[in-house]
Amino acid sequence: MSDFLNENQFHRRRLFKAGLAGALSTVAAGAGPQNGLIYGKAKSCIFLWLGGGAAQIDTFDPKRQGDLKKKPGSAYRSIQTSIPGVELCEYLPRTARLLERCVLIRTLNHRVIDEHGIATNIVHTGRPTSETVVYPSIGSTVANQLGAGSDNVPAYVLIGYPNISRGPGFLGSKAGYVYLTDTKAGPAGLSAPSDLNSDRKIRRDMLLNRMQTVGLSGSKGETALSDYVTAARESQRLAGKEFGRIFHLDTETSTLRASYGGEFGQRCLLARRLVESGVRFVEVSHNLNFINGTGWDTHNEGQLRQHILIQEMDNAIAGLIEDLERRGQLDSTLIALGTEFGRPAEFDSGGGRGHQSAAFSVIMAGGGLKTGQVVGTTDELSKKIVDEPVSVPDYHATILAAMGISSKLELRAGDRPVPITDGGAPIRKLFT
Amino acid sequence: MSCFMKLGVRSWLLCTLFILNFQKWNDLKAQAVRQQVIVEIFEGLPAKWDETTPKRAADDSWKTSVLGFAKIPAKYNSRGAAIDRVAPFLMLSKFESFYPEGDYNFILRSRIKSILRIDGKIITSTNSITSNAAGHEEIPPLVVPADRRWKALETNSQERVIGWKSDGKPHQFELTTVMADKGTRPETGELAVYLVPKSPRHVLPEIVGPENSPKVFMTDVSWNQFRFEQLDLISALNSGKRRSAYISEDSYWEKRHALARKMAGENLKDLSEFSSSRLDRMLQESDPSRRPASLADDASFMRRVYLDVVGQVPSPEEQLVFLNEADPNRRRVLIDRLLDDPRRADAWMGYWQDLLAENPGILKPTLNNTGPFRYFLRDALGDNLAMDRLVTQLVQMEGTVLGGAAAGFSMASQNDSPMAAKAHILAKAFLASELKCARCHDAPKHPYDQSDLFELAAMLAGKEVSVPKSSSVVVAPGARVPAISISLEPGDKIQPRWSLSEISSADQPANVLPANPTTRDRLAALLTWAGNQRFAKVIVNRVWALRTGRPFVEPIDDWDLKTQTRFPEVMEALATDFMRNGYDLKRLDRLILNSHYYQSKVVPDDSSDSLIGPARRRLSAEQLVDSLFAIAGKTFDCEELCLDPEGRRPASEFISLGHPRHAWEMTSASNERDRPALGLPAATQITDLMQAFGWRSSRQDPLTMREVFVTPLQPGILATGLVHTRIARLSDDSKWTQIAIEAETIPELADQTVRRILSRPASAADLSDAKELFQENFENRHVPNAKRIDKTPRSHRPRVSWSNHLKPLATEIQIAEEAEVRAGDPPTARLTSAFREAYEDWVWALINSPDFLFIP
Repeated sequence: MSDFLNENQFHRRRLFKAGLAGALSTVAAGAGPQNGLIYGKAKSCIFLWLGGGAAQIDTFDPKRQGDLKKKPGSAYRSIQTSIPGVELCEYLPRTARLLERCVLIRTLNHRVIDEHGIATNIVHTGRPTSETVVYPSIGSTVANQLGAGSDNVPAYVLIGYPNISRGPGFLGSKAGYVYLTDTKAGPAGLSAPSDLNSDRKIRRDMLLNRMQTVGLSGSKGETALSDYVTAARESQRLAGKEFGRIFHLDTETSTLRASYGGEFGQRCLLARRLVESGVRFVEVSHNLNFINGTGWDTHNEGQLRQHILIQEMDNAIAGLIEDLERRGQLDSTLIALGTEFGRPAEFDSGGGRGHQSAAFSVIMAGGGLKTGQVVGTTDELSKKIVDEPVSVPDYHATILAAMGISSKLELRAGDRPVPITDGGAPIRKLFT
Repeated sequence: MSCFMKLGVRSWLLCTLFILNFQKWNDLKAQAVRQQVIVEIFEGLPAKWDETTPKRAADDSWKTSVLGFAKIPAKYNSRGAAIDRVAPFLMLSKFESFYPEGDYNFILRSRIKSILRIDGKIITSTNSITSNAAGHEEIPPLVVPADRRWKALETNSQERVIGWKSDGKPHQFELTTVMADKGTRPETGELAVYLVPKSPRHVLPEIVGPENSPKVFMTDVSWNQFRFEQLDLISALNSGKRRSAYISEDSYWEKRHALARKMAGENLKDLSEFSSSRLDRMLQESDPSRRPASLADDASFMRRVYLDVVGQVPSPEEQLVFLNEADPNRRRVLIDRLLDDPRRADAWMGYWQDLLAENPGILKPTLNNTGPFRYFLRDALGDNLAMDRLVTQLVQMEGTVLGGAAAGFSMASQNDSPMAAKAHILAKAFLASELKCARCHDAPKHPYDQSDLFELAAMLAGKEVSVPKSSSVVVAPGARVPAISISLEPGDKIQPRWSLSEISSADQPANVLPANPTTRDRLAALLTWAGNQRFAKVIVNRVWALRTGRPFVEPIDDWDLKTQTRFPEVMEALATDFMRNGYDLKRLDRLILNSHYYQSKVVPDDSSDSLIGPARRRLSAEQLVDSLFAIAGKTFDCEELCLDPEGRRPASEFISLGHPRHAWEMTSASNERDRPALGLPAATQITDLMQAFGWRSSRQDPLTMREVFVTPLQPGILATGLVHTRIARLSDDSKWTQIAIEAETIPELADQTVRRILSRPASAADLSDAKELFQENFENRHVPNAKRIDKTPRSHRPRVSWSNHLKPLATEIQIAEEAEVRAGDPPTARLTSAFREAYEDWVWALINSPDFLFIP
C-alpha cells in the first residue's frame, strides 16, 4: 500500500539483502516529455475534498447576486483577484490574492446529480461503476504508479472517512490508503495507542518478538508465515516515534498554524508535513459539518453559515500555498480541489441550493503547472458551459500528467488492460 | 374393491385423527392462552383504520413468551422464499395473567402506533410513526432515567406510563400494533409493555407476560439478551415455516437426485462405497512418488476443524470435551458434532457473500448494491439445502428484494444491465466460466462471446434484453487499438438462449424441468442438472480448496484458463460421490474432514521432503473477528447497522442489517458522503480490522480468493485497533478479568489464558514468560472493595439518526463517540494496574503472535 506497504518495496528490501536490488527498476516522478505526451514535475499531490458538492456560484464562479429566494444568483458579492478580470466570491480574499499561483477550472462536469455516493465515486475514480471490475481512486492510481517517496511513510494517506470510492479497487490493498479522522490520533493501524506508555510498548514488543521467533522456528520454509512476521516487525518499527512525529503539529510555530486557519487548515498543514516526508498523495476531507451541519451540501439552512465554511477553506488553501512556496515546495507539490458536483443558481424553499453537475468549479495550484489561467467559461448564471468543458477523466489526466504519469498508460485488472483514465486528456495549456 | 376398502379405512382413520387432533389443538390453544402470548398478524390494513381488529382469520400467528418484540417472523411463499407482508399490517398480541394486588405502573414503549388494552378496554396508546425525509430535525434531548439502571428510551420512540391497580385476579392483556405504516420498514424497535410496582422503588420494570414467563428487565443488558434470544427463536420458527413451505417440491428434487445417482455412476461404477480412507488411497495412488505427511496432533486438528467448520476457535470447555472423549474415533465424533452445529452456516457466509457479490448498501442503494440476500444464504446453508437446490432458488430470485430473500440477488443498483451482472456471477461461481470480458467484448482468452453472456442475461430476465450502452469499448483518439473483437452493438436485442452446451447439454430428460418452467427454471436446471458434471466438480474443487488450501484446479473460478490440475481422479471421485448423494455439502465436507490428508501436518509449498498435505492458511477476516470476541467473552456491542435507527424511512432508501453477532453480518458504513454524523465508529473499528485482512466493505464483483498479500497495515491494525481497545483490555466484562480474579496460581492463569487463545496447554516458554511477568504482582493483584466499572450503556449515550444528522450537534456527538471508541473499554479497578497491564500485554502478545493468526 505505499512504498512501505508496497509489494515492490517490501520485496526490494528483502532483495537488497540478497544483492538483487538492481533487477528491479522504479518509476521516477518528473520524467521528461516523450512521445508528445505531457509530463509535469510534481512529486506529490494534496487533494482537497469538499464533500457535499461545493456551490461554484458562491465560491469560484461568482455571478450577479440573487436574493436567497426567487431571484437566482450568487449569495455573496464578488471581489477582484490577482488574475486581471477574474473574480471570486468575497469570502475568498486570500485565495483571490494568490490566484495567479492557481489554475481555476470552471467547467468541470459530469451527469450525475441525484446521489452523492455515485457522484463521489465518479469524481474519485473518473468512471461510472461496473460490476466486472472495481476502479481505483485517483489517490490509489498515483500510489500504484509512484509508490511512496520514502521507506518510512505510506504512499497514500486519507484524512477523512474510509469509503470504497477512495479505495484501490482492482489495484489491491497495496495501493490503498491509511486513514485518520483525528489529526492528533494518527492513522488507524500505524500509530501507537496514546494510552500505552513506552515501558509497555517495549514489553509488548519483547514478548511478541519471542513468540514470533518460536513461531518461525516451528514452520521452516513457510513464506506466508515469515512474510507476515516481517511485515509485523516492519509495522512495529513504523508505529514508532519517527512516523508519529509527523502528526505533532504543535512543533510548528503558532504563527504558521494560525495562517492555516481552523480544523480544515490544520489538516492541510498535516498534509504538507506528510508530503514532505514522502507521502505521494494525501486526500484531505473538508467534512467538518459542525460549522453549518450540512458541510458543502448546502440545501435549506445549510446555506446560512456557508460563508464560514468558505472562509475556512480560503485560509486553508492560502495558508498551504504560502507555506509551500516559502519552503520552495510549491512547484513539486500539486494542490487539487475535488467535490462531487456544484449547485444551481436558484434557491430552494429553505434558502439553500440543490445539486448541479452540468458545470462546477475546482482549482489547482503549484505542481509546476502554468498557473494564473482560467479554464472554461460558464453562462450568466453558471448553469451551462460556454467553452472549454473539462470532463472528470480530463481532470484526472491533468493531475496524473502533473505528477509525471502518462495519461495513456494502461493498468491491469487481472489480465485485462484498463486505460489509466476513461479517455481523458490533460488540459494542454497548463503544461506548455 | 380391496383398493377402495383400503382407501376407505385410511380416510376414516385420517378423519378420526383429525377430530382427535382438533380437540387436542383446541385444548392446547386454551392452555396456550394461559401460558403464552398469542400473536396474530392481519395484513393490509385499510387506509382509514378504525382501531378495531379485522373480523376474519389472521394471516399468520405464533406464540411467544412475553409482551415484547425485537423482530417478527418472516412470511414465505409456496417455495420457501421470504416475501413482504402487505403493508401496513396489524400485530395483535394477547395473554392472560394475574398480578398480586397492589399499585403498579404500566410502561408502554413503542415507536409505532400501539394500543394497550386490559380486558378489552384501552389503557394507553402511542401515536403513528412520523416519517422523515430531510436531515434537519432537532436532536431529541437524551433523557437518562432517574434510576440509572434503566434502559433509556430510543430516540423518537414513545413512552407512556400509566398507573394500574391490580385486584389479584386474572385479566386479559392485549397489545395492538400497526407495523410498516407510511412506507416504513416492518421493524419493531424496542416494542414492549413493562410493569413495575409503585413501591418499593428499587424494583426494575419487567416485560409483562403469562405466569412464569422469563424475566426481561428494562435494562440495556437484559434487553440486548432478550433481543438475541428473540432472533434465535424467530429464526427457529422461520426454519419450520420455510421447510413446510418448500416440502411441496421435495418429490421433484427426489427425482432429480435419483437421476443424478444414475448418471453419476456411469464412469465410476466402483465408487459405491466411497470414503475418506478411499480418498486417501486415491491421493497416494495418483502420486506414488510422494508420501502423506504425518497426522497433526489432536490440539492442532481440533483448532483447525473448529475454525473451518464453525468459524472460530474452540472454547476451553469445548476443548475439554474433545480431549477427554474416550472414543478412539473421537476426531470423527467431533467432525459430526461440528457439522451439526448451528454456527456452521455462519462460518460459510463470508465465502458465499464474496462469491455471489452480496453487496447491500445501508444508505440509498448506489454502487452496484444488491438486496441483503445474506439471510437467504444463511437460511439455506443452515437448512443444509442440497447444493443444486440452493443454486436453483438463487437463480429463481424469488421473494422480497430488500427483506433478505434470494430476490435480493436480482438487484444491481446503478447498473445498466443487472441480469448480465448476475449471469457473470453465476457462471463464475458454479461453472468456473469467466464471462467478465463478454460484458463489453468477445473474450480474447476464453471461449465466450458477448452473445453468450447476454443470452444468459435474457434467460434470467425472462425476455429479450438490449445490449446496454456501457457494453462497448470506446477507443480514445490516438490510444492503442485494443486487440479484441466486438460482436454486438449497444442496442442489439438478444433472446433467451443457452449456448454453453459444451458445458451442459440442453438435451435433458423431461423430468429435469419443473412443470411450466420459466426461463429462470431452465437456466437453473442447466446449471445444476446431472448432465452438467462441471457443476459438481466446481463445488468439490471449491470446498477442497477451502479446507486444504490446495485446489485441484486453478484458477478455482476460471477453468478455461486452466493452469494446473492436481489429482484429477480424486476430484472426479468426490464429484461423483457428491452427485450420488444429493449434492449434500455436509457429506462432502465430512469426507474431506475425515481424510488423513486434511488432518495431516501442514506441508510448506516448496517442501523438499516429497510429502503431500494441506497448505498453511491464515485466519480469514471473519474467523479472526469471531474468534477474538469469543476468547475475550465480549459481544460486538456496536451500533445497529443502520443509518435510520429510528425506522422512519422506507427500505428502498435505508435498510437495517441489525445488531451483528457474527463478522459476516458486518457492512460498510457506506459513508460516501464523508459526514462524521453518518459514521458508525464502533462498527468501523471492527471492519477496519476485517478489511485489513481481506474482507471487502463493498462487494461489487464476485471473488473467490481474497487477496492474501501481506502489508504492515495488517499486523498494524491487529496491534493497535480493536485488539488493543477491547479484546485484550481487562474491562469488567472481559473473560480475562474473571480468569485473573479467580486463578489461584500463576501456572493456572497461564494455562487458562493460553488454552483460550491458542487451544493448547501453556508451553514451558509460556510459563516462563508468565512467571517473569507476574511474580512481582500476582499475589497482591486484588484491589479490595473496588467496584465494577461498566461501559455507559448504549441507550444512555446521545444518538443521531438520518433525521437529524445535518444538525451541527450531530457531528459533535459522533466525533465524541469516535473518541470514546478509540479510548476503548474502561479497565477494571478490581485488579492493580501493575498486574492488569502486565496481563493485558501478555494477552496482546499471544493474540498478535503467528500461532494465533495461522491455522495449525
